Amino acid sequence: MPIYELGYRHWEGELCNPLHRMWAITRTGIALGFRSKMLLRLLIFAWMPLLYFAPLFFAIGYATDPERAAAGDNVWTQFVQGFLGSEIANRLLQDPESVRRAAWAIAFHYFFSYTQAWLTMLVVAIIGPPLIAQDVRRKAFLLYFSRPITRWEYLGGKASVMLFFVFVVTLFPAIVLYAISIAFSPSLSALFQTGTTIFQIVAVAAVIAIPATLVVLSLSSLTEDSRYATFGWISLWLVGEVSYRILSNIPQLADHRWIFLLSVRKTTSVLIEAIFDVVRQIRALGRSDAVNRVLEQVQTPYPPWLGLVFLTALSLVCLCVVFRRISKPMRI
Amino acid sequence: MIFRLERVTKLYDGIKALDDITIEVRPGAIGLLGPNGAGKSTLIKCLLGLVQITAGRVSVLDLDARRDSRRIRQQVGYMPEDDCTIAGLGGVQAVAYMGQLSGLPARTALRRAHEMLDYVGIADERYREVQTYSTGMKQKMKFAQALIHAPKVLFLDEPTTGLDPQGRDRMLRLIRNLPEKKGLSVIISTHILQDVEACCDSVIILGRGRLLVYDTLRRLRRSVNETYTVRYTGDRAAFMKALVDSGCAAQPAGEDEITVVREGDATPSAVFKSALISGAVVRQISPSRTSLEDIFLKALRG
Repeated sequence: MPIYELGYRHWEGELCNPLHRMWAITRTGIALGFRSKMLLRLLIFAWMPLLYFAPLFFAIGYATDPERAAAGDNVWTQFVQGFLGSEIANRLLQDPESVRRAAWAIAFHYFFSYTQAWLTMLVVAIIGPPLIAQDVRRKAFLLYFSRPITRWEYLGGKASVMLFFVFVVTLFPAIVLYAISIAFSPSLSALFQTGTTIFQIVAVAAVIAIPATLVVLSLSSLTEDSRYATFGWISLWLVGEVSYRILSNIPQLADHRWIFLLSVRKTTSVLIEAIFDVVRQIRALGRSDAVNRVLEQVQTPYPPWLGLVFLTALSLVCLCVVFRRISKPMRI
Repeated sequence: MIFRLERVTKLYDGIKALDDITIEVRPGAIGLLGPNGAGKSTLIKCLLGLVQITAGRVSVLDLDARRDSRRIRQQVGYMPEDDCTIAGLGGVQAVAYMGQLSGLPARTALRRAHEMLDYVGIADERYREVQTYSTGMKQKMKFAQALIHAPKVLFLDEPTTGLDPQGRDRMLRLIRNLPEKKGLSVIISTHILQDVEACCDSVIILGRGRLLVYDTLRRLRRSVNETYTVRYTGDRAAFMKALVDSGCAAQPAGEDEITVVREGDATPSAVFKSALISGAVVRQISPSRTSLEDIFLKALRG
């Protein structure tokens, strides 16, 4: 026996559980994703809306505090007037706690439906397309599936990469925003009043992330060249958005309930509105011009259930496509 | 037993890729031979549980391929023929990643990756991205990733493709080392018969999805060694007639050569007696050396 041999040595040790294998795919995918400088810049940019929303929540926290309102501390009320208008601000003085819930619902609705929705689209366009397309191109399936992992674990690992990056621009900043709001609220009543918000944030992040992940992974699995998948994803978004805006402005079609399904952003937005129960929260403020203006912006004639059914069906179809595609190389 | 197939059939769109194969393969170094489309890659994929068989039963290391494919893949290593890489990873990262996918803890996988790359002879290039590797280096890297999780059986699909002669020799030496000194069983699927001759002690020959031959090389060669090649001077017709009369099957080979197949007592002494009778002079008599190519071609001809 040699005392030293730079050769093949057998190994016998304890193996990790199957979740570790899926985690290895996710971790490697995330590490590769962070190599993109464009993505890093975008992620930093994606947190910028916090600079706008955090002071707003902070101000709402102070303005809606009953003790401060009773003491006539109206500095923050004036600040909130800038965001919500004078009528709502006046209402704030009369019944501060009822306004808080509505204000939070509106603010989170805007945060998810507008700023983060577009940033999500860009993040997905950078991260998603190469995830499976590069494995198809480089025939990596044979390396993966000759290992003790299943197709579901592979798909789970890849989907987790995408979900992570979508959550970085949706869930994580929203949670930080919520934590800031609670931390800077002058009393604990804010926590009790808005206890369900954290669950609503998670639900909204899931509504944005899951369909986006499955759609982009299915596009990625359909091609060897990730540029086509990127093009497909952006086209789906932009063409859908433009089509929706054009069709919704045609009077004959404006009443058709399915029009919003053309736009991924609008469909998601309708669901976000339903999850935060924005319309009911605003109506609870009573009738005024300011309330009506906000209501006009938020309220849509589109049924959320239709959006949910559509996104669920789209996700399932994409799941079938991607699963079939990753099984295909094995059939040769 | 490395693997056992019982009446295994695999159909692709009605075409039989594997046709009613029954075989039980013993440990060692086994060459898997066959022309293109013979079913070699399908056989390996069936053994790994990557494709579902149409009929029959497959077991590897006494595990059922249909039920326990994950446990099988835990215990076997596979080096694919194709140019497979994980985009964006360096050599050592890629091999360690494969180790983690096999269940090795991250730190152990990294240590083993370095060991395996040392073994296959990839030095500082291991820190470069795999896409920048030459064909030979990619082959070595695929070999390293197949070994990282310490498999009991290694499936190598065309392991020497794209290697220069020096690289090929080195690769064959590494492969040969595994069954001889480390107790691993190695199954080499290849078109290069010399690779099988250099590394293997048994051979499986497939043709049109059917099993044509499975035996040790030694036995296959011995069965053909009963043929002698005789060089002579003299009258060919008379010499051949004398050989046939003495119970030998004789066939003209070259200009002054006759191939004599031993039947019954057709020993070299029978050849000398026939030469004496016919007036021919035997210049040389030697057992015909049959190469694997002869065995292969004979098997394919049926």
